[in-house]
Amino acid sequence: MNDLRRDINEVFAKQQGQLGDVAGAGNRMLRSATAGRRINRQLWSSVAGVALVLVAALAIGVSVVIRQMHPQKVVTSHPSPTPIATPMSQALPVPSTTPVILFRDPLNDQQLDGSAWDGTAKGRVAVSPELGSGFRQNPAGTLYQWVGGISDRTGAVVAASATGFKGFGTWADDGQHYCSMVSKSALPPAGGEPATLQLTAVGQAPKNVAQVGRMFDQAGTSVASCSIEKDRAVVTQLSSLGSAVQFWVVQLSTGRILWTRQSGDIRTSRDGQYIAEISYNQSTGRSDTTIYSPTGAVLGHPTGWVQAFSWDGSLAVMGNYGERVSVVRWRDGTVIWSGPSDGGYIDAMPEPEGQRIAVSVSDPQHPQTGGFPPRNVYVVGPDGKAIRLLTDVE
Amino acid sequence: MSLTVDEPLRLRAIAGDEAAFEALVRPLIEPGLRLAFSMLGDRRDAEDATQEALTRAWRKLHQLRPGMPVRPWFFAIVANQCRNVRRTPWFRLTSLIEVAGRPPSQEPEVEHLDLERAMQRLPLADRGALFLHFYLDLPIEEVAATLGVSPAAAKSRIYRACHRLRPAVALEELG
Repeated sequence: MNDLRRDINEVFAKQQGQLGDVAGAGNRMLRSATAGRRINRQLWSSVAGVALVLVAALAIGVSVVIRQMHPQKVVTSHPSPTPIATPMSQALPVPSTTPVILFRDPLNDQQLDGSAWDGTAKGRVAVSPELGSGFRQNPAGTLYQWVGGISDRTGAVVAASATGFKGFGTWADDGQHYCSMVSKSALPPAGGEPATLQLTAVGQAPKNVAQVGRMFDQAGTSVASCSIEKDRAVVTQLSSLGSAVQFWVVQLSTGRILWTRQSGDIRTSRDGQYIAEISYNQSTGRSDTTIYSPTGAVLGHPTGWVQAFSWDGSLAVMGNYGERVSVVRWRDGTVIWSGPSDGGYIDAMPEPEGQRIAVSVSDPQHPQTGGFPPRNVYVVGPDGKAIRLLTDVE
Repeated sequence: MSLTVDEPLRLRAIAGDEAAFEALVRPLIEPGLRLAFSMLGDRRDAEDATQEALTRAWRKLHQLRPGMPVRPWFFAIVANQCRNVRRTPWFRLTSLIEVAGRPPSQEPEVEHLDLERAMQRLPLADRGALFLHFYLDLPIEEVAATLGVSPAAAKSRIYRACHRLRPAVALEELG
């Protein structure tokens, strides 16, 4: 073996000798790599910062890149999606108000595509080189925020989205507003500075709601959920590692703080009606969850890690990152769907105004070969029936 | 080289600090370029792939999660980019032209020439695994992380590649 290793290394060394001097390549490549992002640095840093702290929030439609769609392995009798081999050229054939999941085209990551929740309609939404930097859809996918602003499904920019140094924030549940946390400085001073919750109607000036938490150089505040319907937002103070250390329930119309708690990591329903605090029990090695009402009443203690809720909050997606996922009626503990045994949870998104929930999991058949884990996206109904809507996406 | 990213450095880089990004990836550019060259066999293609990988790393830096080691993360992007390059019809065409037009080696050592040819015939991922483990001396765990497979699968892939090159190699010899 040692001989073979030596011989292989000699072959590699001989080949590498043909590469010549590479000393100057690094500087040139670094300059070129950072040049594109520098143009949108302020806005991109906002997007990236939000992405960092909202890993589990509304992320499926935000950052998925479909690489392939396979019709096989559908887990129920629902119609399977049509496979594609080229970038979608047909415009998304659904009315502009139909809820969809947005994703980047598998063969062109500068193209944004959409899929109806039942997989029966898919099509192109927009094309732009900047879409590769990420986007954030509202719950129905009727609007999306990206570095170019806020666009509708025709691709037309309907509003600028810069809301301050710390990012766009979170779409409200009506899909027409967003909640953001802003601070005075791009780089807060030592000790931090106060953060302000703002509510912005798309295309209008932001309104200050309340001062909540503090922004620091390496940590800050974030909006876990923002609900026009329930007139509240849940704001979290985050550690430098991105996990929550305290949260506040804030009434949007008055700025009044309804309840606050020093906490572990939290997940919330889209309207803030249910706040799941996750705690890790070192003696058992398990994660457990306490679900609170917005006023602090304990509603339940599901065993395991709640990651997301369905739109009405009755269903919870449970499972630690990278572990087998399930969808549970958390009030009585009924497991209505279990993900594939060899797939690990990545993220989830509720169907707006609906009862389904989209869950993405890793797939050992499609191991990670790039910087982003490929995933399969399942849509799970309240009866536990599921379809695999998207396969091998990033 | 520390494998796990220094957290403040990672956060600064995510926030758009180019100096922090440079500190994270600069030591990886040359080995990344060499990895790309080992997979693609052409300096121009290797530079393009590494350049694209750097650009993607910069734009997708937020996906470098806390505690995630940066070297396999970056090498994974490089390897994936190489696979993308290999998939393009343009690459296949230019590669064929280059192979057809390449002058024969001067007095090749027969055994090494056979090995060279055998290595060229290896699947791209297998060759990459050999390069990472043997030439760059990465531990199995990092090879696995770069290739997006389990350590057992990475070890198996290296063994399989070695076995193709020299069928007498036994699994237990693989370090």
